Amino acid sequence: MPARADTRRDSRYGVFSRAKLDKLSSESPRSPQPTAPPTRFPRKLALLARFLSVVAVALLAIAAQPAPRQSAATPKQRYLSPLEMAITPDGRLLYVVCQDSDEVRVVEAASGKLVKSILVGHVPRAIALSAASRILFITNAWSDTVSVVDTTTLQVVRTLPTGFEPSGVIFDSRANALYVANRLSNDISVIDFKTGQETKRLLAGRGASYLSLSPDGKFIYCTHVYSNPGAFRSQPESEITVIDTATQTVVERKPLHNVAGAFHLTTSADGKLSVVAQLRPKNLIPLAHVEHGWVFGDSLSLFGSDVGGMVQIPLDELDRYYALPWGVAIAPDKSKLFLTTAGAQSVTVIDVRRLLQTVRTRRQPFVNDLSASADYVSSRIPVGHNPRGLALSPDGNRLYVANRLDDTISVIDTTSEKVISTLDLGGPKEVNALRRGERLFYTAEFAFQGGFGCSNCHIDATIDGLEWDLEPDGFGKDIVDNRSLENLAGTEPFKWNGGNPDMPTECGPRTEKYFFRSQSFNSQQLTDLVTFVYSLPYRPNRYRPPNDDLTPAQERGKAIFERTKSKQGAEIAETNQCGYCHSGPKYTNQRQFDIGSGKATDRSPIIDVPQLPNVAYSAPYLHDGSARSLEEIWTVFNPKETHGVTNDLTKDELNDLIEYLKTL
Amino acid sequence: MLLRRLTALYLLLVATGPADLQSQPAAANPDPSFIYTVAQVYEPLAWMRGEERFSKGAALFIKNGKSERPLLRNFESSADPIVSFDGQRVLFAGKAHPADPWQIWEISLQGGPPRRITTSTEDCIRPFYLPDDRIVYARKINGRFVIEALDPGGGKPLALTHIPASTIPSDILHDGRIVFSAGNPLGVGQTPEIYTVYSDGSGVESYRCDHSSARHSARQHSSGDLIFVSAKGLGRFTSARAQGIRLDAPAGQFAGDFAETTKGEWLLSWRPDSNSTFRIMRWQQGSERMEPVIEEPGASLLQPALIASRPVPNRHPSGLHDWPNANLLCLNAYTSKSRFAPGSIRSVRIYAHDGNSGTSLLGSAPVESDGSFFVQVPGDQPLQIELLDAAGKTLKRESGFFWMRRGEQRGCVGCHAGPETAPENVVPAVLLKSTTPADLTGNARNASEGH
Repeated sequence: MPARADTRRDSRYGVFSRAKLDKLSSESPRSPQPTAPPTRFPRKLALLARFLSVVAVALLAIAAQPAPRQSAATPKQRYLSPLEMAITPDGRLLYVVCQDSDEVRVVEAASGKLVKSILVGHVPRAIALSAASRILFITNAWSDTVSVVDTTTLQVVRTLPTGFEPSGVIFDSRANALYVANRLSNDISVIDFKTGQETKRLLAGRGASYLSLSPDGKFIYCTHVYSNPGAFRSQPESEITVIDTATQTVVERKPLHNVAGAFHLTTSADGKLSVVAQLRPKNLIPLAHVEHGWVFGDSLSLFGSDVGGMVQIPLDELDRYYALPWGVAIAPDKSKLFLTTAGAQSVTVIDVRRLLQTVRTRRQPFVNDLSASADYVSSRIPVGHNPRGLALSPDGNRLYVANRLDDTISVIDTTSEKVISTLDLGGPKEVNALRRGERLFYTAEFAFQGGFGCSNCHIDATIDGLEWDLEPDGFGKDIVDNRSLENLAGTEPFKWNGGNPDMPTECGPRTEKYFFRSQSFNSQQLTDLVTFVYSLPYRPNRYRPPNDDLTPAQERGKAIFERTKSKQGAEIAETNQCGYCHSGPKYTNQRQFDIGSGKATDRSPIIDVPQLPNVAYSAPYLHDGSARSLEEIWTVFNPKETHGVTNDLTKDELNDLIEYLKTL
Repeated sequence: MLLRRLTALYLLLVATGPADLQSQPAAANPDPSFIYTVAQVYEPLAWMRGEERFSKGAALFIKNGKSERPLLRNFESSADPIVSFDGQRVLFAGKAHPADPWQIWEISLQGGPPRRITTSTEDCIRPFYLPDDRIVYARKINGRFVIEALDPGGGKPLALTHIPASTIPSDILHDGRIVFSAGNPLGVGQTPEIYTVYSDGSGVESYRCDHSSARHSARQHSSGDLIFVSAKGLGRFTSARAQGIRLDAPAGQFAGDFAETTKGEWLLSWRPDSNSTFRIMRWQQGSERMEPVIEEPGASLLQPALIASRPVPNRHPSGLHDWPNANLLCLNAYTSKSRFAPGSIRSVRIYAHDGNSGTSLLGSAPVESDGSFFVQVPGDQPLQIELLDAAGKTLKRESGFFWMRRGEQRGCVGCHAGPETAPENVVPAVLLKSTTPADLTGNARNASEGH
């Protein structure tokens, strides 16, 4: 468990009232006192700052790009962006997590009428309802907290600290324990709900994100949006971390072979079939074309007694892809399986009986057979933009689908498999440039046959942690690591060789010709997309102390970063000092150099200097992703001190340097 | 019959003027206008032999409501109509004079004389619009039809097909690929089959690999399915299935080139048996019977083309490099509809068609233990692959041909793996040895071109 998490807790979140904790510790129906949602700053100030920063970024984006111009700066409106949902046992109310408005909207499932809007923390990501339905838990990804909502008063009554970027959440009523998957700290917080104290931090895989409780309550399953770190150019391996709720320990790590990007998991009511929505990237073969599942395989992993061991099944077809499988639900009678495909703007319905028959009949793996889905997919239902979370009514007759980039919920009749109504959650009616750009970023419709979109590799607008073999450089040549998209203005040029001078070039013809292989964005769309990409801010830096008051280790690391002489007193050439290349507000001088990291398969060793802010989040490192950690940059890939002078540093000193870099 | 219709053309043009030929919004027209071809004799597969489909000529007519009128005057023959995406122009194959070869022409539906687009001494037939005002058609060269693309400004046409046999386009798919018919095995076979190619000539492949009886003249339905003519009637390719399926249409023979109305009905050229002539029928999928729309005793009515706007297919952004040769990466030759014993494939040979009836060996390259190989081959030539064992004995030789465009880099999942097979995510062993392809161009000087 990172030490910083504990030291920060008191200062950032205050001291919890023991009395309040006691009141909620046993799902009391009484009305607890509301507490303010946690923020680093007063909410209004934070919102104002966010608004101004977005305006500034949008202006910068427009100014930075020479190609088609946006007519005016388009500040990000307070769209709702419904991401996840929970439904009451009587099916009357939907609790909708609204990612962009930092709230949970409580709406009537039948009419969509707003019952109440509950402000929570920043960038809420997931929701869970306690077994008795008296308490709602909402993770706040950018506040590193969980908001606890009393469903009788519909008010936030507690706010609990978590690890970095809390995502999935589950409440184990029997043990009165809260489990939270922390995406950036790659672990799972176990919180004693009575005391509010985190009692354990369980090691998960990289990008721990979604949690699911088995129907018998014995196990919690955790899936991950990134694959685990592995050897260079090896197949991505993810896992399902299995936690025994009786012992609160990890008892198994079910491997997900060749999977990078596992999303929701659900289990049938009888406990015999579990399903994971997942991406199978094809990052190890040259990206020569798109057809025949050459870039991604949209798929599911199945496990449980119905299927025996882990079985992967394809969702795509020969000529059409169903990109980014994300949310899953199984009908109460296990007749159907529902799946949102976030990049394809649709819901896939699978006939479970036919699915199981297919799995039992076919003895060999068939996840690469694009004709297999015809044997079990019963329909593809078009819904809104970027469908994510879904919720089934308790009787299984209605399926609710959160259309994240429409601020709506599609209501599907599960018998006819048709959309019967669309609930408007009340977001802004105007679709501005940022929203249009975000839709473009998350859709797969521009790639050949709908194969994939920007967000396939930039999961939730971040990275995928993979290295790719892009065709234009030749087959097997110029392997490139996926770069972060945070706060890109002022970091031009783009591409690892610095070949693209601006974002329109990066996202325009290059993407069309060598990625999507199909007619892509027109001038206006490209402008919108670039506007959105430039608007992506830094995620909160969890390592930077308040007031930049560095720890001793960080101070020592800073001194190493800024040093001009080696430990032996030798002058370090200016061009070999860290701050020469990693200079300026984003720690890049926006130039290209040979730092000795080139490989035999690289056409040129000249590499663009990457920006360093939030570098801790973007492993692996170096242009080709060959360094699995920051430390390996110097201990493995800098033998001739061409990437700074580092071979005189001890292990402890390298650790100090890393501690400092993580604060940038 | 044709004379009667041509006479009628003159009278009608004088009486009504060409403005009547303008596109009408299909949705507002309950009985949509369409263009069709009238021919006394029609041999739908004569192109496979490089021969004439309309040995007694043909003429284009327009049906608008209850009236029928010729599209052109002073034309010896006209056929193969295709309406532009905006519904304002018609591309067709025509002969202005009896001694002329078929050429590609375009006429505005708002009036004016037809414009000749191709200028060849040999036949140019079967035109289609591509996005960005490019067109594609089949030109007869040395007795066989080659598919070519032409830019809107003219210039030298780009040959898209490179096999020793005829190819003829039948539609442009929504994804921008050209669907065409050719004999199977490609380049040598006599059984018509359905293939696709990108509009720069790269990526040629069989649409499906369940080769059996004849199928040709595929057109794409608004659902994305391909509807084709088969020996048993009509067939359908769906996105989800690796095999074509029979389309449950009324018995009889179909000439291909169906048109889909906004009401979801199909206009089909159909005849009850081979002793009859084709007529235009209206059919609703699922219905047991068709209704006649128009028929002409003694003549076949063919190729219905709606006068209406329609979606523009996606443009294909060509990724061809400026190299004289092409690079081919096979991920795993064992992934195949043929069966090979593990470890049995040791090398690959590439042959080129020699221009006559034989082939010439370009060279051979090792196949890695994982079945991968990486070779450089000449562009724009008919090629053939052969897999061999350790003793140099042939394990499997491709019966037909394929081609790669100059500057193309292509990856294959396996050797005849079928379009339903996606690749496994693993670095091919051959790329761990070298990223330079083995030179099988037949010219060692070209080794590693472009790298």
